[in-house]
Amino acid sequence: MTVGVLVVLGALLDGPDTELYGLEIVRASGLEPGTIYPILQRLRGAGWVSDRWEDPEPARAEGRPPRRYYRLTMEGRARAVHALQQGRDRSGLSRLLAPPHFPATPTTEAGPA
Amino acid sequence: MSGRRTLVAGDSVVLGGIRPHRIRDWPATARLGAGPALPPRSLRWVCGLLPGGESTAWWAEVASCFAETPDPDERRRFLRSYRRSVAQLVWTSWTSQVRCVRPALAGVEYRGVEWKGTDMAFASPEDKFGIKIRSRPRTLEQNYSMIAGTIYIVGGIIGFFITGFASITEMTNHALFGIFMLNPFHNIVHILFGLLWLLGSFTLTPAGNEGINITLAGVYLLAAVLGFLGYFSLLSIPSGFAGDNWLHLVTAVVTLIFGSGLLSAIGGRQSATA
Repeated sequence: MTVGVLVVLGALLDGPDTELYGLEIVRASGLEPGTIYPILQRLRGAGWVSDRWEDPEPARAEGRPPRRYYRLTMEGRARAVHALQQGRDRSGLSRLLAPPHFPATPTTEAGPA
Repeated sequence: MSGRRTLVAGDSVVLGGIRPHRIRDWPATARLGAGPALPPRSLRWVCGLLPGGESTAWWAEVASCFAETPDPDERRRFLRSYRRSVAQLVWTSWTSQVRCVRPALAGVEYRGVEWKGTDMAFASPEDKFGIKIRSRPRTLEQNYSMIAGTIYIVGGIIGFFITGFASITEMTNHALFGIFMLNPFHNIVHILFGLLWLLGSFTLTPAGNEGINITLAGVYLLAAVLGFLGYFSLLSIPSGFAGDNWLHLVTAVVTLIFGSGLLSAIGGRQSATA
């Protein structure tokens, strides 16, 4: 479990029902999209995260491609909490992963959505 | 604007109708605010490296990411990050593809499933690969393989004394025992087939050895037919009823009888499984 994975998990753990799309995770975690995607791929393969494509109609109305939303599964949520706890216990990561987890940056709300 | 990229002033490369191999049109599009820009086409090649469904999904997500990032500096940063992570992306995509297959196979309940009398939950490498691990007496088929392999290897070596090493793949008039026409290449093939037979006899399980025998019988049958029709001057085999062709035919038939497990099956014994 790398720091990147923990940070992504932290972003998805933000609320009880958080559902983020790629760019939001980028903004919330401070990582780059190229890094995020393989992480989400692996979490998806492990069954921690489920994904869903946005309905294309409203997206087309806004003139943008549909987003892909990610959320933690039940199993993933339980495991993510545990993993974050473990990660926080390791000294070097305490600063990075300090609770509360990543509050969404203003860009997320004021984004071009 | 719809998803289509629009031509903008200053986009001279594309306006000129030339498809450049280094496309840097996207910053221009973003700068001039010409609607949602498509993802940079300089990433398009990455799709070719990904498994089918994954490449579509990845490209769609890249498109979504770039479409909602108007800031050119940020776009440039994203592009660099995508480029940097290509190796990682390819690796993760293919390995998760493989992992998707594995649970599908695991879904089949192996425990209690018997394959040729073996519970596959406890299948040994012998069952899986046919490579002999524990020692066991040679079967009839393996004895046949040993004899046939020895004969062919000895024949190949003697053949080299007759043919020498000149005109390797040409029609020659060298003959073993006066009837079997040879050239050096023919000898090499004999030695290789003999080695295969010996491997089957000594290093494979009974079932693996039967596989080798059936294969070699098929190859010899083919060689007999092709030689008869005169297509094997490469091996210095004359067409028609020549000694070589008879020998190949006899070898094929005898191998099928003694090497394929046929006699065991007729004798009512259980066929080799490993």
